[in-house]
Amino acid sequence: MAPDSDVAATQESKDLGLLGFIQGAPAPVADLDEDRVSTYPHLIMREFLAFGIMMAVLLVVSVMFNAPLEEIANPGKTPNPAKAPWYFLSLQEMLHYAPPFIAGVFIPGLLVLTMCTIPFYRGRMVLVPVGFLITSLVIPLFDGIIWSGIHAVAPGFANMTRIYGIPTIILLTISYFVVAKWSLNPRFDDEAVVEKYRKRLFVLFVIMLTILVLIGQYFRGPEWRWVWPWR
Amino acid sequence: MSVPEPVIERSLRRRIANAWHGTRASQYLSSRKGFAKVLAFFSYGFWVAGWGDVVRTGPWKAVYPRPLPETPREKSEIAITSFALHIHPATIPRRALKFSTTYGLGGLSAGLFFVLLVTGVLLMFYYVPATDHAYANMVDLQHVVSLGRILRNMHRWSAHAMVVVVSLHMLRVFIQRAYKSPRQLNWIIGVICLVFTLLLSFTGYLLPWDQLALWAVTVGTNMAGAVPLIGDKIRYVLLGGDTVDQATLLRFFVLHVNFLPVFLGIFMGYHFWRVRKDGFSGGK
Repeated sequence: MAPDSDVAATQESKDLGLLGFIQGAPAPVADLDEDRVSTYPHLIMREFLAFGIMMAVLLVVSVMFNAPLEEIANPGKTPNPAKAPWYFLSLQEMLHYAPPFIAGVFIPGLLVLTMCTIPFYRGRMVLVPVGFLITSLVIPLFDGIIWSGIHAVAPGFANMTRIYGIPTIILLTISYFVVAKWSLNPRFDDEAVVEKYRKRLFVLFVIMLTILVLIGQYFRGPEWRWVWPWR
Repeated sequence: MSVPEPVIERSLRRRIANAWHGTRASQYLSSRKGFAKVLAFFSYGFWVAGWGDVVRTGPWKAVYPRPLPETPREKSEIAITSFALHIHPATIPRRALKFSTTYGLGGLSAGLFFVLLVTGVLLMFYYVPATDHAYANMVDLQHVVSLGRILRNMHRWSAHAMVVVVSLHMLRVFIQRAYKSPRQLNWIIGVICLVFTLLLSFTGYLLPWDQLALWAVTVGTNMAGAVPLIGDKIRYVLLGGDTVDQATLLRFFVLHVNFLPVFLGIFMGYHFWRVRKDGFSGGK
């Protein structure tokens, strides 16, 4: 089947008749000048093939590697360290530096909410949520240093606020406005530059999350101390 | 007391066999020459009709009562009239076919979800969510149940793969800026799907009831306990007590096999429907 005949069918369906005039915005329609092909067989067969390859890979992996199964659960025998599932290890790594409320509740909630708001920033402002994702990941790692700094000045206040990580939350709020100010930099007048930074910052965020996961998985031993995996 | 009469076995199969063995046709087919002639007769018929016609007029037409599609109109009708395939439009932009447009990540996520549903249902046949049974079930799956090891391995690795593939799908959509208007809502639905994927994986983590499961979930739920003021209450509701115990196992089991898959399925359906309504964005 030549691809031209597929296109011919869609050409045929492009004969539109005028029915009348209405007020308001036009109804959204697909770009009619676009080159289209029929879903069957072009897409269906590709999906079928992709699913087949996925099943083959899964089968080979399942035959070769056994899922981990340790000894039966024993509440009286705490492993050291007790590690969360790997996708939560970035949070557990953060728990090493920041209080549980920050690492376990505030930051994950903040990351999810910030993710959700990304589409609602226009133009250069999209750098704000993406930059904020990074500061939300970095600033809690310095919670201990922030706390010691405040502790040196006002020990009572520092001890009182540490549990909810209030200094960190204040610093995070400031960082949001710092990122917003940074996005007003004249170099972001150019859309292409914004686009470049948008991609780079998000990839940086993903890399940082991955590094935290890898540290938690391979570089943390008893008492969450640093270990080298090859020793 | 009367002695019951012995029941004579008169199954349908026996009666057909008796009727068949006496006939001339059976003698004919049993002889080498007769069998060769019958074979030759039908082979000639197949040859005359052509294999294509045999395939096209076969009994499976009742299941899929259409000739193979040839014209573009017939091809479109496949996507429009089939229930399973009407998830797709009849035609798609050529740009959407390019592998580097999507890397197939969204489709693979859905495929992995399907694999997890099938293997998960099969695992449920063997699994009892009780602290004195669960671990033994795992050992049985490893050593006793036919293909049990592969079943469990496949469920486990598919779950890990799904977390990775869904995350990569999100990265792809972000890089291509496919979340911009009018697709903001679908991006949010996607984030919800990612969170549900993580929760599904996390609740499944406890079910083998080994040391890995118990302490990973202890660490995870301790984090939930850090919510100000109501943290301890949230943790109590999650665990069904103060420690990870029988009540926790049952709660996580119910969440893992009922609540979370159903809601993820609903959100996935919503996600796909919005892709249809908003139009396919990739590769522009």
